[in-house]
Amino acid sequence: MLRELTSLAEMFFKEAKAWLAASLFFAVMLPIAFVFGFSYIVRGPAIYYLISGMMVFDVAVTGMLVVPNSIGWDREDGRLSLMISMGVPLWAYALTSTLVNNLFAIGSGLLVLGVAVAMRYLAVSLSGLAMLTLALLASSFQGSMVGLLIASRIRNLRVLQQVTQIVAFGFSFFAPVYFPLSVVPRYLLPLAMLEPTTYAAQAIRLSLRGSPASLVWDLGTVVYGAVIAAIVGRLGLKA
Amino acid sequence: MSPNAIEVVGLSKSYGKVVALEDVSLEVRKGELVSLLGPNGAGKTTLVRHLYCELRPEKGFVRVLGVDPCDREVRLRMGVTPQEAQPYGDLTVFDNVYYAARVRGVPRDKAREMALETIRRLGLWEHRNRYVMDLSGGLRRRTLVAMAVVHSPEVLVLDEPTTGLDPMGRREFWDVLRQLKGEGRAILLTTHYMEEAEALSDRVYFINRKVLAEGTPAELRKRFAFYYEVIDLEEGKVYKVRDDEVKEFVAKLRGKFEVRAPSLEEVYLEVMKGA
Repeated sequence: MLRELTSLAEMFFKEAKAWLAASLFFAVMLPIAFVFGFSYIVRGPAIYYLISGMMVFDVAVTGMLVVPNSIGWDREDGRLSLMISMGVPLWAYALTSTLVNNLFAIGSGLLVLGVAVAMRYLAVSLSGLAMLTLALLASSFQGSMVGLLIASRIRNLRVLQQVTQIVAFGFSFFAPVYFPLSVVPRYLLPLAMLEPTTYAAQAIRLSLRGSPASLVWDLGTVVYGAVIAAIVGRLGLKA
Repeated sequence: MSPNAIEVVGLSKSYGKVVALEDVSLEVRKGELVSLLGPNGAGKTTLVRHLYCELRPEKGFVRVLGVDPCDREVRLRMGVTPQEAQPYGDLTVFDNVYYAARVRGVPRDKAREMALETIRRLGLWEHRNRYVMDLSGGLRRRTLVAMAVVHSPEVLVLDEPTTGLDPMGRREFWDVLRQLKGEGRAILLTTHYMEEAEALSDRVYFINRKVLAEGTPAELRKRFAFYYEVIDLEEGKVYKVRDDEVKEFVAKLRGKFEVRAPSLEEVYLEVMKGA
């Protein structure tokens, strides 16, 4: 099975190559544009919210938006059926697709940091960088599991696209991604704690500041992802 | 050892209250091309999806090469083109075919060799480096078939492979199928095109949730041909004449005429009407 999985991963990378020029352009230019543009109005410690927010956007949103939509399109185009017929288990296909998408997202997230550091908006210690890597991995896992859950339950591509946009974009603006958790009104707190990006955002932001509290949020992120993974495993993914 | 490449026995499947298949039994012998004919919603695709384990039977069972198709090993000996499946548009023809071999566990060098050989054999050579998204519908379909046969499967299941192809593309596709059949593979084909079934099949099943009729195209035409069409070429009139009256009828005609037995399509319509 290992050979089959590595072949799948290789195939997904090759597929991404078709869009490499545009992807690279956006991966490089978007962080520069965002960091440069928003840093004009965001000053002081708030810059950490901006940078971590952009990383959450890259990583968690990839999991909740790109992963389910990519599976939705594969389902729509009959490729999930094709894979089953070739003897490839759907979980293996979905996880490989997820992994490849996340590698791009994590790379893009790190690029945001690179741009911010190069522009001297913030500095990150080595331990902070290690914690950040952990936080990015945990957020990818959590976001992807949410994405897989959505993809497993919604088979209609049009509905899937709308739901993922609401979950990935709509909710993340209500979650404390670009602002502190402490400013969320009490009555919205339960909703904010249900929103997956809340965990990812705290973990990433605290890691940038070198705070070990990041690890606690990492744990929350992983537990959240594991619960969703268990649900996905129980419900199964269908072509 | 069973001579059947595909064996379906008493298969039933419902989607909620909608019955898709009811006690369907059929077989495809090794080296045989069998067509499944039926209207939209007749359960053809549902049946096919059981053959590669996308669906599990509610009742009855399915065997491919004598084994439950949910056994991964047997799926590696099959090639399937699911209905409306598309190759990867962002990959070239070669990559689609090559990775179809790789994900089935074929080693790198062997997969490359098999992919090139299949591409050449299916007339895709000059397109091998083109992205699939840039190809016509016919060439995409052919790429899909190449993905299904690259590993030399013993059994092929093709779900409406020619839908949407122009007449030329369809004829070219028939040649591909004849070639594959000539190599001794068992092929199950679902189609809406009667002339396709008639031109290619050793046997045909008419299904509409259950099997309504089965036989060679000639047998079915013979079994359900209760009348002949007599065309009076002088008058330009078409008569439907019972088979026991046809000799007497044509004897009375003056000038040129044509007598035609019902086509498979007419037999099909007759069987479906009576279902």
